[in-house]
Amino acid sequence: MGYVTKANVLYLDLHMTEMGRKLLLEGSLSDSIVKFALGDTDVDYRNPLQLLSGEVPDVTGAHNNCIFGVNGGYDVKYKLVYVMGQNSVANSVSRSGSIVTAFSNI
Amino acid sequence: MGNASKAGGLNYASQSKVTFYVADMFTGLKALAMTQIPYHNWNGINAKSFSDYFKTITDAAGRNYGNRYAELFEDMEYDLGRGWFVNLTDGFYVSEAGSVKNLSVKITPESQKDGIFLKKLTSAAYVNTNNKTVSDSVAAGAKIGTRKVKAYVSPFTVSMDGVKTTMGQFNGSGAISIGIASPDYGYVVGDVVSSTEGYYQEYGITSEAGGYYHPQLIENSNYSKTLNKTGFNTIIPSGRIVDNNNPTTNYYYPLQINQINNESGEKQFRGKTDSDFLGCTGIRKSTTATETALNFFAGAPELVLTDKSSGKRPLSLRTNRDDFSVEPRTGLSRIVSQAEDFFYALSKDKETSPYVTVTNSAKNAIYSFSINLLVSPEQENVNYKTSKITLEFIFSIQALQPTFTWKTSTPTSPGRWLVFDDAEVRIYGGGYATGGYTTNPTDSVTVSGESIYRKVTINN
Repeated sequence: MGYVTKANVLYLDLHMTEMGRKLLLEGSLSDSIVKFALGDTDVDYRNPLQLLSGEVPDVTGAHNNCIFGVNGGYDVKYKLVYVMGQNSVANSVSRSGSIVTAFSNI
Repeated sequence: MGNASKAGGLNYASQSKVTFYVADMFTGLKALAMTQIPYHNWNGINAKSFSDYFKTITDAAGRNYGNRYAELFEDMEYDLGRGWFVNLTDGFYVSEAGSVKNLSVKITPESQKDGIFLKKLTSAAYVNTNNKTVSDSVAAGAKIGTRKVKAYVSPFTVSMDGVKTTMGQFNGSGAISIGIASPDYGYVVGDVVSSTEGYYQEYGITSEAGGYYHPQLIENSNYSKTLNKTGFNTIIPSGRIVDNNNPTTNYYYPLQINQINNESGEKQFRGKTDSDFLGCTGIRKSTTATETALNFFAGAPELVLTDKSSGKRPLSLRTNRDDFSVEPRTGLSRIVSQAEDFFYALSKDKETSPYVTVTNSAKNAIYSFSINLLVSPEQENVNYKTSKITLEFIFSIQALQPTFTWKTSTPTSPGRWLVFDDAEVRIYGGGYATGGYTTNPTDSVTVSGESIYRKVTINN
């Protein structure tokens, strides 16, 4: 996580995934967001436009030099999850396991 | 060769590729459909050749399936995941600290392209992210042409099983399977056109009443009063398939009287104890979804609505037979055609065609495409590493033959696949390109060692 200057008002730019952009075009984005998560995930390495040396992710850096689109399937590690209507955020559970697909008879 | 079996336990993969040979689903169903031959009759039928087939295929213990049809259906569906639904994967787990356990999971397409394929593949009813059903078949199906769009709805659906153990309920932790979803079930109400006819009964109806009824109406005892007023003499369980290009055209598959008479016990159905409206409750001996489906879609003929009158009834459901030396049309034949239409349409649809590989054409065509899926924990705040699956679909129209015989169109009748032209069964699997096949749908591989139904490649 980078350093953010303390201020009375702090603006965050929202960069949406393909699903988010699709919902926005359908006019239902505000209805669809019932929870959100914050996390420190660095770079989406599947995006061909990578961060250059000296750049940091958008939330903590100069966003004009950063990536505005986020690929579908992108996920945030180590989330703080907030569900609308709740009074607090929950730390995500960090696990070392992997999901596996099972097959019989191969 | 040798039979496939789950006795060897499960293999686990964090990254895997499943190649699904679509033709095997249908050629395997043809093998099972031959159990329905006693209910059919046409000029020159050789019923014995079909029943003899089952003496030539054996189970894992080496016993042939002659006269053991229920065991064949159960071995296929329960043990192998092959039948009306075919398992593409056999479950999802989390591997953590040396142990493997069930977990509720969710599946998401990896990219927009994968989402489009998944949507079209399951497009009989597509539920969007707001849980609103998109029922517009033109929006959901695969499209051909630009000026006048022709859309084909997929006959398939993809389902994920849940698992319930002593540790709890785990959503999506079971198998992913692909199934045939275009048919539904209900009842045909009408007057039998000729009650002395042993096979392929037809029904007179009116424009106000009679025809295909939703089970909710028939099985509601109060509705029997309404049915009594219609004066129809028969109510009979029926399947229905909606035309894949025209949602206002239906095909009906009411059970035949010889199928009902094969059932044990009480055969008559009454909506209410004092009702004089009689019918039957349908197939009860079946122990698998596959056998029940094939009772309707292979054992019964296809009827269509016509304006041909019958007695005092101005309309009728007729078999639409044009050649009495071959089988009547059946639901299985209809579904194979719908699958062929759908894959052809995917190869032309502007959203999917760039990703569909087509080799050859017409009845020798081979279609293939892949869908990448990511499997992650259902709980948002659990950070297990996701599992990736690539589902590769290969549909060789050539590999449907000679198990199915293509009957070319005539000036009065469109072409169609014959299910019962002969007792041939060839399941090619990965041998679709080399010619290797097996005649036994419970086998694991062909005579030349290629996997059938599905081939799993683990890429950990």
